[in-house]
Amino acid sequence: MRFSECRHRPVLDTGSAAEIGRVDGFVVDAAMHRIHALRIGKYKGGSILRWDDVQGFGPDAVTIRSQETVRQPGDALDESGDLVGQRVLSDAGFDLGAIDDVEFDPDSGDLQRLILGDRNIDAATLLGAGSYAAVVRQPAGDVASR
Amino acid sequence: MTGPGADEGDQPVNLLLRASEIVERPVVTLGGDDVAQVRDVVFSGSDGDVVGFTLAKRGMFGGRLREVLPWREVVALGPDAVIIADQAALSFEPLAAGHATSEHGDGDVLGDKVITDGGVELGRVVDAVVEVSAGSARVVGYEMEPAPTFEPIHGRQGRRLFVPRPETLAASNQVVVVPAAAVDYVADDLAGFGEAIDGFRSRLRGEM
Repeated sequence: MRFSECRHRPVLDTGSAAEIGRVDGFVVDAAMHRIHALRIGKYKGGSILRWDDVQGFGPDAVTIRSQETVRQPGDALDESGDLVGQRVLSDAGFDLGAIDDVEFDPDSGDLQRLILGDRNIDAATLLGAGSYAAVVRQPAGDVASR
Repeated sequence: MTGPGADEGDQPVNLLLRASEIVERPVVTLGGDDVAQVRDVVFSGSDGDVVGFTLAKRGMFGGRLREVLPWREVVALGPDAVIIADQAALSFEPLAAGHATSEHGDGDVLGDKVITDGGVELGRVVDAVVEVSAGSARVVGYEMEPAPTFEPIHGRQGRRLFVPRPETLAASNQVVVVPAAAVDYVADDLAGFGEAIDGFRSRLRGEM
């Protein structure tokens, strides 16, 4: 599944059967190659839903057991920028382009692939993401030459 | 350059970069943070080895940083960034003395005369060419504004030329002395220069 397919997906509290907001974006733990949290829009109680508090990531709704699990940002990762749109640098110092979309496993929250135009990069090669770029291991077959 | 999508199985070819292309490149951690940018490339006058970088704050008018980046802390030097493990790579210990490749530095090579050991002036240095290979980077040649009297490539007068540097060189602050044989390996573009350097060095080693 891709990040772009999941934006605006309703977040449903299964305790009260109330839709409490919608998925607005993804907070990623780049070094662990997994989703850290979902950013939730249009909910006064908070903007962060940790992946571990997600009950089910379904095709029509993201379900949670209680709206209490949607909180204010609590750690440095919660405040980090969006991976989509970020520049990708290889650890050999080559600019590989910008991330258009990210493919992930909705069961585990593990990132699978970074999509850069018509090119895919295995998310397991992701080393980190910060203020300037997401850094990946230099793709095999790319030769540092000119 | 052979970028993304290069044929697998290609022999890794060393990367040639102008020093001016490295200046202002961001210094980025493996965590993706840009902690500085390159202010100047510092290299040993005798063997050309890059010893490290002086640094500036990020941005167009970034002021000089007191920290420097020693070469041993560099994970990779690429065309788009200098990669370091983390902020701890930056050091307050001054770099080993060397030449600089821009007008920022003390003892910079810009404007230095390139003269053969036969006493012929070839031109004046306008940039240094850095060869990056696994684990090392060294200045292997200079881009120069040719002297009016020097025209090794027919019809290309006035055009900037690349002259290879021998592996070891007597260092001075105003003059770069190259063996007379360097004239045969002058190139007019960076793409052809890698081969010229290899040929020149083989010949100096008596292999040709």
